[in-house]
Amino acid sequence: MKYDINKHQLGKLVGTITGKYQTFAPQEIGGKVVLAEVKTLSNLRLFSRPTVLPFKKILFPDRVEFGKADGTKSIALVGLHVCDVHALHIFLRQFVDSKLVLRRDNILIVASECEPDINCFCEVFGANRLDGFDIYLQKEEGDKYSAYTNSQTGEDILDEIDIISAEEQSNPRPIKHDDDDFEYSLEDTISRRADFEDFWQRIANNCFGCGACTAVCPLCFCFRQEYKNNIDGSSKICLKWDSCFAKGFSEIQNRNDLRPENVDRIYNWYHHKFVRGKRELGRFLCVGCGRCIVACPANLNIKNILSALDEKIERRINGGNKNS
Amino acid sequence: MKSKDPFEKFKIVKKKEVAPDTFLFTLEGNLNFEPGQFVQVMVPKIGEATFAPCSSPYNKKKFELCIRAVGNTTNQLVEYLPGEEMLVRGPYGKGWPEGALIGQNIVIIAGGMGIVPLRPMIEKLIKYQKEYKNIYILAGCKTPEHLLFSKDFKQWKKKFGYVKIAVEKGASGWDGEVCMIPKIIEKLKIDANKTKILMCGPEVMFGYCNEKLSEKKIADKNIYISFERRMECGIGLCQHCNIGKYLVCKDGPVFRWDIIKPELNK
Repeated sequence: MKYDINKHQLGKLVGTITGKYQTFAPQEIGGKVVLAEVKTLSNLRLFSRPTVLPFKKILFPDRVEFGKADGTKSIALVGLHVCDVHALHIFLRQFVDSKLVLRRDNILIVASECEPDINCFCEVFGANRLDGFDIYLQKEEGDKYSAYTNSQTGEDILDEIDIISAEEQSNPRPIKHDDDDFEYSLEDTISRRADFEDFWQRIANNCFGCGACTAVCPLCFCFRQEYKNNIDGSSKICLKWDSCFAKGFSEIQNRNDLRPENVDRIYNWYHHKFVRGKRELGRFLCVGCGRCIVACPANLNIKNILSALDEKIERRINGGNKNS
Repeated sequence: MKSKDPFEKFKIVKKKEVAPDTFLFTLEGNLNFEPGQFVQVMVPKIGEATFAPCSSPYNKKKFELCIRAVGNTTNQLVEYLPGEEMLVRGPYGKGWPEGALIGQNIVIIAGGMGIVPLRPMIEKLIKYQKEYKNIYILAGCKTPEHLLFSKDFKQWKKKFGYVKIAVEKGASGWDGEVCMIPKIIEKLKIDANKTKILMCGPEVMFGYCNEKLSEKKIADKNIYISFERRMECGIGLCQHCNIGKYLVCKDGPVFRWDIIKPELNK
């Protein structure tokens, strides 16, 4: 269903959601667009650049105590870009059998139209497909908006708002151009490390190994346990975000580090995203959100690296730029 | 994690120093594990460490953990005394193969602590000995003092006939070999087509041993190796224990050499 709404009704929509759910949305705080709990509507930036950190900071907070949730209400994620919606579903699939990600049931997903920037490349992995949300918001001329529903939950929420009009048959504007051919040789190319040793070494020479990319990536979910011991003798086991670039990540007995060099670590990052992740979850662990490109202090660009590994990706990325 | 508190408490009923800094703990309770699987043991406020139970899988009342003090967690664990409880979760992982071993010669190769996950498997081989051809045990360790389960080795020698132990450095009273494991593999005479190898030990040993085995025309697909990695979750989520595209906790810890060899050093 498509609903036409105005600015006032959009505010009312977010207000209704906030009443029912613990709601998180992009907000401008200190000059940055961050994903934070909605307390007031004035900071909301529903149609913005990507948030600095993705949804994982809500569902999988750093240093959260194992098995403890800091709330009882279901969560609503409002203003997610479509690439993040795809990432969210892959992320939830990774943790489906565990109790590590709490309150993941009945998450209300309200996606919003993004403005593709120079760094993002969701179309390469099909993460521009408009799917997987309850409600999708699209900006129209002036103060008008369209809200598309994709589930009964979404429709029920919009029924509570006085909308201008509704239409049965209507689809949102596509994001970037659509193409269903995702037959890449990426898995094979990345699997053969020995054949590309020089290539990885060149990248590693430029990489600082800081792990900023792993912190901002919606699909980097490596973690370890941390014991928070208090002065009163109590102790909590917490989930600590870990980075495969961190010293000690691949350490075994007797301080024997299995990935001592930066090249081992950066290779492992790509290998997890495009080989191991694909094997485990059936999808590449990259949706092309471009956050790692923005975060990298060494200006490494995953778009260029993937383009160099697969001609088809190169053509697709360049073709996409020409069209837009 | 399976339930809210995945840890089960097991009472220590016996503790024995079996080698320098190495203790054998007997715990009361049924762990219900397959040979080659592993458990996570937690020391509150310190951390967790990974161990393979080393007793017979058919003893449903007690099980044993062999713990060497080599790090923060294990240094604390070896201080535990009988009467105290250990927090254990698991068992996890896929252990030694079953069907593939029937009707075959079995060669056990264990380096140092590598005998630990193999001991339950040897117990299984004893129980179903008629189903296999000959069973050979090759083990190695630093000094005779470091040899774990020396009584068992004597028993296994009686049962299987072929048990060879190599030490890197001999001592007075040692009548076995003084060499590295690959040397005792060299002396093995075996039908390469009807043989399966079960191996565990420090990772550096695998390459040298497998080189000798391939000289004996034993195919990579007939070699099974149990790998050691540091586990955080043990259930395939945290990504610390990967070898290439495989996770040691979920796809292993026992891997066939032909499958895992191309994934090493990735």
